[in-house]
Amino acid sequence: MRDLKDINLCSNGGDLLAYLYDEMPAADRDSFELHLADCGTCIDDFAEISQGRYPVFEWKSLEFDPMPTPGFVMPAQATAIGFFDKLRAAFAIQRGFAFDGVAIAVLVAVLVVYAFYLQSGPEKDVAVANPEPIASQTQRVIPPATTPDISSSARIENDEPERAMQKSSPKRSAPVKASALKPKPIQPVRTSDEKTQVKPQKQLRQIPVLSVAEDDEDETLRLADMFDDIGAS
Amino acid sequence: MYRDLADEKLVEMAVGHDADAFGELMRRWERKIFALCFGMLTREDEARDATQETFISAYKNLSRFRGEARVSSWLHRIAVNQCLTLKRRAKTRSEEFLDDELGESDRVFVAPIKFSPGNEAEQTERLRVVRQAVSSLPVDLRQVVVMKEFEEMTFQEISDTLELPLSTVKSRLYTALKQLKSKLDRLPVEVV
Repeated sequence: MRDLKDINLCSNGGDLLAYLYDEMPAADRDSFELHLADCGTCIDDFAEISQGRYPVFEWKSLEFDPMPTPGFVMPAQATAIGFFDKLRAAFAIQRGFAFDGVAIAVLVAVLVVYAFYLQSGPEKDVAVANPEPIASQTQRVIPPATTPDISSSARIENDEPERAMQKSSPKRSAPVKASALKPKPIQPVRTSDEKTQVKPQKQLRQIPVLSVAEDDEDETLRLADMFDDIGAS
Repeated sequence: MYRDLADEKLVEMAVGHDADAFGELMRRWERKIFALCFGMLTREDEARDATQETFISAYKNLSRFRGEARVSSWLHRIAVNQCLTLKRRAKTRSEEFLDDELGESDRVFVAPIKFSPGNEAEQTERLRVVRQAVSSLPVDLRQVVVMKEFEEMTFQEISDTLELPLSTVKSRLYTALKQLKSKLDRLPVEVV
Protein backbone atom coordinates (compact mmCIF):
# COMPACT_ATOMS: atom_id res chain seq x y z
CA MET A 1 0.00 0.00 0.00
CA ARG A 2 1.31 3.38 -0.92
CA ASP A 3 1.62 6.02 1.70
CA LEU A 4 -0.84 8.87 1.48
CA LYS A 5 2.01 11.37 1.40
CA ASP A 6 3.30 9.78 -1.80
CA ILE A 7 0.02 10.21 -3.62
CA ASN A 8 -0.21 13.50 -5.35
CA LEU A 9 -3.90 13.30 -6.11
CA CYS A 10 -4.67 16.93 -6.44
CA SER A 11 -2.14 17.70 -9.18
CA ASN A 12 -3.71 15.67 -11.97
CA GLY A 13 -6.65 13.46 -12.62
CA GLY A 14 -4.70 10.28 -13.32
CA ASP A 15 -5.68 8.58 -10.11
CA LEU A 16 -9.20 9.94 -10.34
CA LEU A 17 -9.60 8.30 -13.72
CA ALA A 18 -8.01 5.07 -12.57
CA TYR A 19 -10.45 4.98 -9.66
CA LEU A 20 -13.43 5.92 -11.84
CA TYR A 21 -12.69 3.19 -14.40
CA ASP A 22 -11.75 0.64 -11.75
CA GLU A 23 -8.18 0.29 -12.94
CA MET A 24 -6.60 1.10 -9.63
CA PRO A 25 -5.09 -1.68 -7.54
CA ALA A 26 -7.19 -2.67 -4.54
CA ALA A 27 -4.56 -1.49 -2.09
CA ASP A 28 -4.37 1.93 -3.70
CA ARG A 29 -8.14 2.16 -3.76
CA ASP A 30 -8.33 2.17 -0.01
CA SER A 31 -5.74 4.93 0.21
CA PHE A 32 -7.50 6.93 -2.45
CA GLU A 33 -10.85 6.65 -0.71
CA LEU A 34 -9.35 7.85 2.55
CA HIS A 35 -7.93 10.86 0.74
CA LEU A 36 -11.15 11.49 -1.17
CA ALA A 37 -13.17 11.68 2.02
CA ASP A 38 -11.04 14.58 3.22
CA CYS A 39 -10.08 16.48 0.04
CA GLY A 40 -12.81 18.81 -1.19
CA THR A 41 -10.88 19.58 -4.40
CA CYS A 42 -10.62 15.94 -5.35
CA ILE A 43 -14.29 15.42 -4.50
CA ASP A 44 -15.38 18.20 -6.84
CA ASP A 45 -12.94 17.01 -9.48
CA PHE A 46 -14.17 13.47 -9.23
CA ALA A 47 -17.79 14.61 -9.29
CA GLU A 48 -17.09 16.65 -12.40
CA ILE A 49 -15.56 13.84 -14.42
CA SER A 50 -18.18 11.40 -13.14
CA GLN A 51 -20.91 13.71 -14.36
CA GLY A 52 -19.14 14.08 -17.68
CA ARG A 53 -18.76 10.35 -18.09
CA TYR A 54 -22.19 9.13 -17.00
CA PRO A 55 -24.21 10.52 -19.96
CA VAL A 56 -21.83 8.82 -22.38
CA PHE A 57 -22.07 5.62 -20.39
CA GLU A 58 -25.87 5.85 -20.41
CA TRP A 59 -25.89 6.53 -24.14
CA LYS A 60 -23.77 3.49 -24.77
CA SER A 61 -25.87 1.32 -22.43
CA LEU A 62 -29.18 2.31 -23.96
CA GLU A 63 -28.28 2.38 -27.62
CA PHE A 64 -25.32 0.09 -28.14
CA ASP A 65 -25.48 -2.63 -25.53
CA PRO A 66 -28.85 -4.01 -26.75
CA MET A 67 -27.36 -4.54 -30.17
CA PRO A 68 -26.48 -8.17 -30.78
CA THR A 69 -22.84 -8.90 -31.09
CA PRO A 70 -22.06 -10.07 -34.61
CA GLY A 71 -20.64 -13.52 -34.91
CA PHE A 72 -17.13 -13.61 -36.19
CA VAL A 73 -15.90 -16.62 -38.08
CA MET A 74 -12.19 -17.11 -37.74
CA PRO A 75 -10.50 -18.11 -40.97
CA ALA A 76 -9.11 -21.60 -41.11
CA GLN A 77 -5.47 -21.97 -40.34
CA ALA A 78 -3.31 -22.03 -43.41
CA THR A 79 -1.68 -25.37 -44.05
CA ALA A 80 1.76 -25.79 -45.50
CA ILE A 81 1.64 -26.08 -49.30
CA GLY A 82 3.92 -28.70 -50.76
CA PHE A 83 5.39 -29.06 -54.20
CA PHE A 84 2.67 -31.38 -55.46
CA ASP A 85 -0.03 -29.07 -54.21
CA LYS A 86 1.50 -26.23 -56.20
CA LEU A 87 1.78 -28.45 -59.24
CA ARG A 88 -1.81 -29.57 -58.91
CA ALA A 89 -2.93 -26.01 -58.50
CA ALA A 90 -1.05 -24.95 -61.60
CA PHE A 91 -2.94 -27.45 -63.75
CA ALA A 92 -6.19 -27.24 -61.96
CA ILE A 93 -9.15 -26.01 -63.93
CA GLN A 94 -11.53 -23.79 -62.28
CA ARG A 95 -14.88 -25.35 -61.65
CA GLY A 96 -16.72 -22.74 -63.67
CA PHE A 97 -14.54 -23.27 -66.70
CA ALA A 98 -14.91 -27.03 -66.45
CA PHE A 99 -18.67 -26.76 -66.31
CA ASP A 100 -18.71 -24.44 -69.32
CA GLY A 101 -16.50 -26.81 -71.28
CA VAL A 102 -18.75 -29.77 -70.57
CA ALA A 103 -21.80 -27.75 -71.57
CA ILE A 104 -20.19 -26.69 -74.85
CA ALA A 105 -19.11 -30.27 -75.60
CA VAL A 106 -22.64 -31.54 -75.02
CA LEU A 107 -24.03 -28.81 -77.25
CA VAL A 108 -21.60 -29.61 -80.04
CA ALA A 109 -22.42 -33.32 -79.78
CA VAL A 110 -26.12 -32.59 -80.05
CA LEU A 111 -25.56 -30.41 -83.11
CA VAL A 112 -23.43 -33.08 -84.77
CA VAL A 113 -26.06 -35.74 -84.19
CA TYR A 114 -28.77 -33.45 -85.50
CA ALA A 115 -26.75 -32.60 -88.60
CA PHE A 116 -26.13 -36.28 -89.22
CA TYR A 117 -29.81 -36.97 -88.87
CA LEU A 118 -30.71 -34.23 -91.34
CA GLN A 119 -28.20 -35.53 -93.81
CA SER A 120 -29.14 -39.17 -93.75
CA GLY A 121 -32.61 -39.47 -92.34
CA PRO A 122 -34.98 -37.85 -94.92
CA GLU A 123 -33.28 -39.43 -97.92
CA LYS A 124 -33.65 -42.84 -96.39
CA ASP A 125 -37.27 -42.19 -95.63
CA VAL A 126 -38.02 -41.15 -99.18
CA ALA A 127 -36.34 -44.20 -100.55
CA VAL A 128 -38.34 -46.48 -98.35
CA ALA A 129 -41.71 -44.76 -98.49
CA ASN A 130 -41.80 -43.72 -102.07
CA PRO A 131 -39.42 -45.31 -104.48
CA GLU A 132 -40.88 -43.23 -107.27
CA PRO A 133 -39.14 -39.91 -107.83
CA ILE A 134 -41.20 -36.93 -106.80
CA ALA A 135 -40.85 -33.70 -108.60
CA SER A 136 -41.33 -31.63 -105.52
CA GLN A 137 -38.44 -33.21 -103.69
CA THR A 138 -35.24 -31.29 -103.82
CA GLN A 139 -33.08 -34.33 -103.63
CA ARG A 140 -31.64 -36.02 -106.57
CA VAL A 141 -34.43 -37.88 -108.25
CA ILE A 142 -34.08 -40.61 -110.78
CA PRO A 143 -36.17 -39.65 -113.78
CA PRO A 144 -38.33 -42.37 -115.17
CA ALA A 145 -37.07 -43.96 -118.27
CA THR A 146 -39.03 -43.14 -121.32
CA THR A 147 -38.26 -46.30 -123.09
CA PRO A 148 -38.21 -49.59 -121.35
CA ASP A 149 -34.82 -50.62 -122.28
CA ILE A 150 -32.32 -52.80 -120.63
CA SER A 151 -29.99 -49.84 -120.73
CA SER A 152 -32.21 -48.04 -118.24
CA SER A 153 -31.68 -50.77 -115.72
CA ALA A 154 -28.01 -50.44 -116.26
CA ARG A 155 -28.35 -46.73 -115.66
CA ILE A 156 -30.09 -47.39 -112.34
CA GLU A 157 -27.44 -49.79 -111.25
CA ASN A 158 -24.74 -47.38 -112.28
CA ASP A 159 -26.27 -44.70 -110.14
CA GLU A 160 -25.67 -46.57 -106.94
CA PRO A 161 -21.95 -45.74 -106.61
CA GLU A 162 -22.68 -42.15 -107.35
CA ARG A 163 -25.39 -42.06 -104.71
CA ALA A 164 -23.03 -43.63 -102.23
CA MET A 165 -20.50 -40.95 -102.94
CA GLN A 166 -23.11 -38.28 -102.37
CA LYS A 167 -24.01 -39.80 -99.03
CA SER A 168 -20.43 -39.81 -97.91
CA SER A 169 -19.81 -36.23 -98.94
CA PRO A 170 -20.86 -33.57 -96.44
CA LYS A 171 -22.25 -31.28 -99.12
CA ARG A 172 -25.81 -31.73 -100.12
CA SER A 173 -26.88 -31.45 -103.71
CA ALA A 174 -28.51 -28.29 -104.78
CA PRO A 175 -32.28 -28.27 -105.11
CA VAL A 176 -33.41 -29.52 -108.44
CA LYS A 177 -35.98 -27.56 -110.29
CA ALA A 178 -39.11 -29.18 -111.55
CA SER A 179 -38.20 -28.43 -115.13
CA ALA A 180 -35.04 -30.40 -114.64
CA LEU A 181 -37.08 -33.45 -113.76
CA LYS A 182 -38.46 -33.90 -117.21
CA PRO A 183 -37.69 -37.29 -118.65
CA LYS A 184 -34.60 -37.29 -120.70
CA PRO A 185 -33.02 -40.03 -122.61
CA ILE A 186 -30.65 -41.83 -120.37
CA GLN A 187 -27.19 -42.45 -121.57
CA PRO A 188 -25.68 -45.64 -120.34
CA VAL A 189 -22.67 -45.14 -118.13
CA ARG A 190 -19.72 -47.28 -118.64
CA THR A 191 -17.14 -47.41 -115.98
CA SER A 192 -14.24 -49.66 -115.34
CA ASP A 193 -15.29 -50.29 -111.74
CA GLU A 194 -16.54 -53.73 -111.09
CA LYS A 195 -19.32 -52.45 -108.90
CA THR A 196 -20.75 -50.48 -111.76
CA GLN A 197 -20.87 -53.37 -114.12
CA VAL A 198 -24.24 -54.09 -115.63
CA LYS A 199 -26.05 -56.88 -114.00
CA PRO A 200 -29.30 -58.49 -115.01
CA GLN A 201 -32.22 -56.50 -113.67
CA LYS A 202 -34.42 -58.40 -111.30
CA GLN A 203 -37.40 -56.08 -111.23
CA LEU A 204 -38.32 -53.55 -113.82
CA ARG A 205 -41.07 -51.10 -113.81
CA GLN A 206 -42.33 -52.36 -117.09
CA ILE A 207 -42.05 -55.90 -118.05
CA PRO A 208 -40.11 -55.97 -121.24
CA VAL A 209 -41.15 -58.01 -124.10
CA LEU A 210 -38.82 -60.88 -124.28
CA SER A 211 -37.98 -63.09 -127.07
CA VAL A 212 -38.29 -66.80 -126.84
CA ALA A 213 -34.57 -67.22 -126.61
CA GLU A 214 -34.37 -64.94 -123.67
CA ASP A 215 -37.28 -66.48 -121.89
CA ASP A 216 -35.16 -68.96 -120.04
CA GLU A 217 -32.93 -66.26 -118.66
CA ASP A 218 -35.71 -64.02 -117.47
CA GLU A 219 -36.59 -64.71 -113.86
CA THR A 220 -39.49 -62.32 -113.88
CA LEU A 221 -41.19 -64.36 -116.47
CA ARG A 222 -40.61 -67.48 -114.46
CA LEU A 223 -42.14 -65.89 -111.40
CA ALA A 224 -45.12 -64.85 -113.45
CA ASP A 225 -45.51 -68.37 -114.61
CA MET A 226 -45.25 -69.56 -111.05
CA PHE A 227 -47.96 -67.18 -109.97
CA ASP A 228 -50.13 -68.34 -112.81
CA ASP A 229 -49.62 -71.85 -111.67
CA ILE A 230 -50.56 -70.94 -108.10
CA GLY A 231 -53.68 -69.13 -109.31
CA ALA A 232 -54.69 -72.07 -111.50
CA SER A 233 -54.28 -74.49 -108.67
CA MET B 1 -40.85 30.50 -9.42
CA TYR B 2 -38.04 28.32 -7.95
CA ARG B 3 -36.32 27.66 -11.26
CA ASP B 4 -34.73 31.09 -11.37
CA LEU B 5 -33.34 30.99 -7.86
CA ALA B 6 -29.73 30.15 -7.00
CA ASP B 7 -28.88 27.02 -5.08
CA GLU B 8 -27.87 28.95 -1.96
CA LYS B 9 -31.19 30.76 -1.92
CA LEU B 10 -33.05 27.49 -2.23
CA VAL B 11 -31.12 26.12 0.75
CA GLU B 12 -32.05 29.15 2.80
CA MET B 13 -35.70 28.67 1.89
CA ALA B 14 -35.46 24.96 2.65
CA VAL B 15 -34.01 25.77 6.06
CA GLY B 16 -37.15 27.80 6.61
CA HIS B 17 -39.19 24.62 6.06
CA ASP B 18 -39.99 25.32 2.44
CA ALA B 19 -40.32 21.79 1.07
CA ASP B 20 -40.80 22.98 -2.51
CA ALA B 21 -37.48 24.76 -2.41
CA PHE B 22 -35.76 21.57 -1.36
CA GLY B 23 -37.72 19.73 -4.05
CA GLU B 24 -36.32 22.08 -6.67
CA LEU B 25 -32.85 21.52 -5.26
CA MET B 26 -33.35 17.77 -5.62
CA ARG B 27 -34.61 18.10 -9.16
CA ARG B 28 -31.52 20.06 -10.13
CA TRP B 29 -28.99 17.77 -8.50
CA GLU B 30 -30.53 14.34 -8.59
CA ARG B 31 -28.90 13.14 -11.79
CA LYS B 32 -25.56 14.74 -10.99
CA ILE B 33 -25.38 13.13 -7.58
CA PHE B 34 -26.47 9.84 -9.12
CA ALA B 35 -23.66 10.11 -11.68
CA LEU B 36 -21.15 10.71 -8.90
CA CYS B 37 -22.45 7.77 -6.88
CA PHE B 38 -22.45 5.54 -9.95
CA GLY B 39 -18.84 6.51 -10.60
CA MET B 40 -17.91 5.41 -7.13
CA LEU B 41 -20.11 2.36 -6.71
CA THR B 42 -20.39 1.15 -10.33
CA ARG B 43 -23.77 -0.41 -9.55
CA GLU B 44 -26.98 1.25 -10.58
CA ASP B 45 -29.10 0.04 -7.69
CA GLU B 46 -26.51 0.98 -5.07
CA ALA B 47 -26.03 4.34 -6.74
CA ARG B 48 -29.76 5.01 -6.43
CA ASP B 49 -29.69 4.07 -2.77
CA ALA B 50 -26.70 6.32 -2.18
CA THR B 51 -28.41 9.20 -4.01
CA GLN B 52 -31.50 8.82 -1.87
CA GLU B 53 -29.43 8.65 1.29
CA THR B 54 -27.52 11.75 0.20
CA PHE B 55 -30.63 13.89 -0.07
CA ILE B 56 -32.05 12.54 3.16
CA SER B 57 -28.81 13.40 4.90
CA ALA B 58 -28.73 16.84 3.25
CA TYR B 59 -32.27 17.58 4.37
CA LYS B 60 -31.47 16.54 7.91
CA ASN B 61 -28.34 18.72 7.97
CA LEU B 62 -29.67 21.79 6.22
CA SER B 63 -29.04 23.88 9.29
CA ARG B 64 -25.35 22.96 9.22
CA PHE B 65 -24.83 24.48 5.77
CA ARG B 66 -22.92 27.64 6.52
CA GLY B 67 -22.81 29.09 3.07
CA GLU B 68 -19.01 29.24 2.95
CA ALA B 69 -18.79 26.50 0.35
CA ARG B 70 -20.91 26.03 -2.71
CA VAL B 71 -24.01 23.88 -2.48
CA SER B 72 -22.58 21.59 -5.12
CA SER B 73 -19.45 20.92 -3.05
CA TRP B 74 -21.57 20.37 0.03
CA LEU B 75 -23.77 17.84 -1.76
CA HIS B 76 -20.74 16.15 -3.36
CA ARG B 77 -19.10 15.65 0.00
CA ILE B 78 -22.27 14.18 1.47
CA ALA B 79 -22.61 11.87 -1.54
CA VAL B 80 -19.00 10.67 -1.37
CA ASN B 81 -19.36 9.95 2.34
CA GLN B 82 -22.57 8.03 1.69
CA CYS B 83 -20.87 5.99 -1.03
CA LEU B 84 -17.92 5.20 1.19
CA THR B 85 -20.30 4.15 3.93
CA LEU B 86 -22.16 1.87 1.54
CA LYS B 87 -18.89 0.39 0.32
CA ARG B 88 -17.76 -0.34 3.85
CA ARG B 89 -21.08 -2.00 4.58
CA ALA B 90 -20.89 -4.05 1.42
CA LYS B 91 -17.33 -5.05 2.26
CA THR B 92 -18.37 -6.15 5.72
CA ARG B 93 -21.30 -8.03 4.25
CA SER B 94 -19.12 -9.78 1.71
CA GLU B 95 -16.77 -10.87 4.46
CA GLU B 96 -19.70 -12.28 6.39
CA PHE B 97 -21.29 -13.88 3.35
CA LEU B 98 -18.67 -15.07 0.97
CA ASP B 99 -21.18 -15.72 -1.75
CA ASP B 100 -22.19 -12.08 -1.86
CA GLU B 101 -19.20 -11.01 -3.88
CA LEU B 102 -19.53 -8.51 -6.61
CA GLY B 103 -19.20 -10.26 -9.89
CA GLU B 104 -18.53 -8.82 -13.28
CA SER B 105 -22.20 -9.14 -14.17
CA ASP B 106 -23.14 -6.85 -11.28
CA ARG B 107 -21.44 -3.97 -13.04
CA VAL B 108 -23.96 -3.97 -15.84
CA PHE B 109 -25.95 -0.80 -16.09
CA VAL B 110 -29.68 -1.33 -15.65
CA ALA B 111 -31.75 1.39 -17.17
CA PRO B 112 -34.68 2.47 -15.02
CA ILE B 113 -37.98 1.15 -16.24
CA LYS B 114 -40.05 4.07 -17.43
CA PHE B 115 -43.08 3.54 -19.55
CA SER B 116 -44.18 7.13 -19.65
CA PRO B 117 -44.12 8.59 -23.15
CA GLY B 118 -42.88 11.82 -21.61
CA ASN B 119 -39.95 10.07 -20.04
CA GLU B 120 -39.15 8.29 -23.27
CA ALA B 121 -39.22 11.54 -25.19
CA GLU B 122 -37.00 13.12 -22.57
CA GLN B 123 -34.57 10.24 -22.77
CA THR B 124 -34.46 10.40 -26.55
CA GLU B 125 -33.75 14.10 -26.42
CA ARG B 126 -31.09 13.57 -23.78
CA LEU B 127 -29.31 10.98 -25.88
CA ARG B 128 -29.43 13.25 -28.88
CA VAL B 129 -27.79 16.01 -26.87
CA VAL B 130 -25.09 13.63 -25.63
CA ARG B 131 -24.35 12.48 -29.16
CA GLN B 132 -24.06 16.08 -30.21
CA ALA B 133 -21.74 16.89 -27.32
CA VAL B 134 -19.47 13.94 -28.00
CA SER B 135 -19.37 14.76 -31.70
CA SER B 136 -18.31 18.31 -30.96
CA LEU B 137 -15.21 17.17 -29.07
CA PRO B 138 -11.83 17.56 -30.78
CA VAL B 139 -10.78 14.44 -32.65
CA ASP B 140 -7.94 13.46 -30.33
CA LEU B 141 -10.17 13.76 -27.26
CA ARG B 142 -13.12 12.01 -28.89
CA GLN B 143 -10.88 9.19 -29.97
CA VAL B 144 -9.88 8.47 -26.40
CA VAL B 145 -13.48 8.69 -25.17
CA VAL B 146 -14.69 6.22 -27.76
CA MET B 147 -11.88 3.79 -27.09
CA LYS B 148 -12.45 3.95 -23.35
CA GLU B 149 -16.23 4.01 -23.16
CA PHE B 150 -17.32 2.08 -26.24
CA GLU B 151 -14.38 -0.20 -26.89
CA GLU B 152 -13.84 -0.65 -23.14
CA MET B 153 -10.08 -0.63 -23.53
CA THR B 154 -7.77 -0.10 -20.60
CA PHE B 155 -5.55 2.93 -20.38
CA GLN B 156 -2.55 0.79 -21.18
CA GLU B 157 -4.23 -0.66 -24.28
CA ILE B 158 -5.16 2.80 -25.51
CA SER B 159 -1.61 3.92 -24.88
CA ASP B 160 -0.24 1.02 -26.87
CA THR B 161 -2.74 1.46 -29.68
CA LEU B 162 -2.21 5.17 -30.10
CA GLU B 163 1.48 4.94 -29.25
CA LEU B 164 1.11 7.67 -26.67
CA PRO B 165 2.42 7.89 -23.12
CA LEU B 166 0.02 6.66 -20.46
CA SER B 167 -0.11 10.08 -18.84
CA THR B 168 -1.12 11.67 -22.15
CA VAL B 169 -3.99 9.24 -22.55
CA LYS B 170 -5.26 9.98 -19.06
CA SER B 171 -4.83 13.69 -19.55
CA ARG B 172 -6.81 13.61 -22.79
CA LEU B 173 -9.64 11.64 -21.24
CA TYR B 174 -9.68 13.90 -18.21
CA THR B 175 -9.92 16.96 -20.45
CA ALA B 176 -12.57 15.31 -22.61
CA LEU B 177 -14.80 14.47 -19.66
CA LYS B 178 -14.47 17.97 -18.27
CA GLN B 179 -15.37 19.47 -21.63
CA LEU B 180 -18.35 17.13 -21.92
CA LYS B 181 -19.56 18.17 -18.49
CA SER B 182 -19.22 21.81 -19.43
CA LYS B 183 -21.02 21.36 -22.76
CA LEU B 184 -23.88 19.41 -21.22
CA ASP B 185 -24.33 21.93 -18.40
CA ARG B 186 -24.87 24.69 -20.93
CA LEU B 187 -27.62 22.82 -22.76
CA PRO B 188 -31.24 23.43 -21.80
CA VAL B 189 -31.94 19.71 -21.36
CA GLU B 190 -30.92 18.33 -18.00
CA VAL B 191 -28.57 15.65 -19.15
CA VAL B 192 -26.55 15.30 -15.99
